[in-house]
Amino acid sequence: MTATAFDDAAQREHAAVLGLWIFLISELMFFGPLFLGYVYGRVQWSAGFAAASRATDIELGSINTAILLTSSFTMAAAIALRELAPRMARALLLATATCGAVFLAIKGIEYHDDWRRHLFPAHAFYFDAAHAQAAQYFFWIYFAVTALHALHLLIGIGVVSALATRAQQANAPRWELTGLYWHFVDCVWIFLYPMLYLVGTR
Amino acid sequence: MATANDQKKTTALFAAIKKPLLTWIALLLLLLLSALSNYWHLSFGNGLINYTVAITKTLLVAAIFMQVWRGPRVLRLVIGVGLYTLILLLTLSLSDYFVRHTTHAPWRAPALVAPLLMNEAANAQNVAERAFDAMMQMKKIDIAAIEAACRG
Repeated sequence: MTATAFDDAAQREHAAVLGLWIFLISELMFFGPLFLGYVYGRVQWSAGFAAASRATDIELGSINTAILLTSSFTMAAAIALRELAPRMARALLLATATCGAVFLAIKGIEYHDDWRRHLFPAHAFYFDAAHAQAAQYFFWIYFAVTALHALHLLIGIGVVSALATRAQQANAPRWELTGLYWHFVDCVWIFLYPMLYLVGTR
Repeated sequence: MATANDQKKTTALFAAIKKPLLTWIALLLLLLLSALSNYWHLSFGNGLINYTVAITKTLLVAAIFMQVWRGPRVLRLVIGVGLYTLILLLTLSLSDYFVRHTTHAPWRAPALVAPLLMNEAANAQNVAERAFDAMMQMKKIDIAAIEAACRG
């Protein structure tokens, strides 16, 4: 006679979702120190942060936000169509991973442009003297938090791609857990967008 | 017959993705609002719009895409406790950082307090000079003596 920890499949699915949420909350804590550093700098050097934020590329930042929101839609649609239209669901998963890759490519272009304009804080940093110290602090946070987000997105692309390759065999919880992780990465960016790109009006 | 079936299937597909589709359109409209608001000078209003939009977008993603209302209550409890803990930790840490320049905690090492005092004193040249002279006569850092020198 074998014993399992769960009464039925639904209970097991709830446990899996709960476990992933606990993981996501711990991931949020991981971003916590960077949010703390940001709030401190934003209050201490409010004019400096506004000036530094104006140096970011709002067009590319907005396009990237739209891409990530679109990827969240394709992910949610893939889960909704899993049983109804499996082939379409798989195509939507691939579209989700592609959106993630395009986001990273655009972020790479932004990083390159920041480097070219001497905004990378650890190498030949240059900014208007009146706000140089605050801007350098801002760009430390900017690079740290966007790189940490990009790392999460990269993992997300891997997980979504892996699901797409085994879409037929994967069970419902696996689809749902992958979706939760993807949407979480999107939620983090939803807050990073106003924090980094919209501080100072143009 | 096949056409009727196709139409039925298309209707079912559309019904399945209707909610996510409408949510996506709402998210893009909200993004447009926050991006355009950056070109209006509303002072405090800009921040208010940006973060209200960000919170609304997150709630939409959590409610429709992540379906947090569908699972058991314990799920919402875990999310609530997690967010509460994060806010608690941020508040505690920030309350320390923001009063460091105004409140010199008695348990803080003198070597950490002295630079703060010197920084404050540097704003008025005479005060800085007095504080510096007082420090130069010390063998061990004495916060009370530096404060007395600052007062004059």
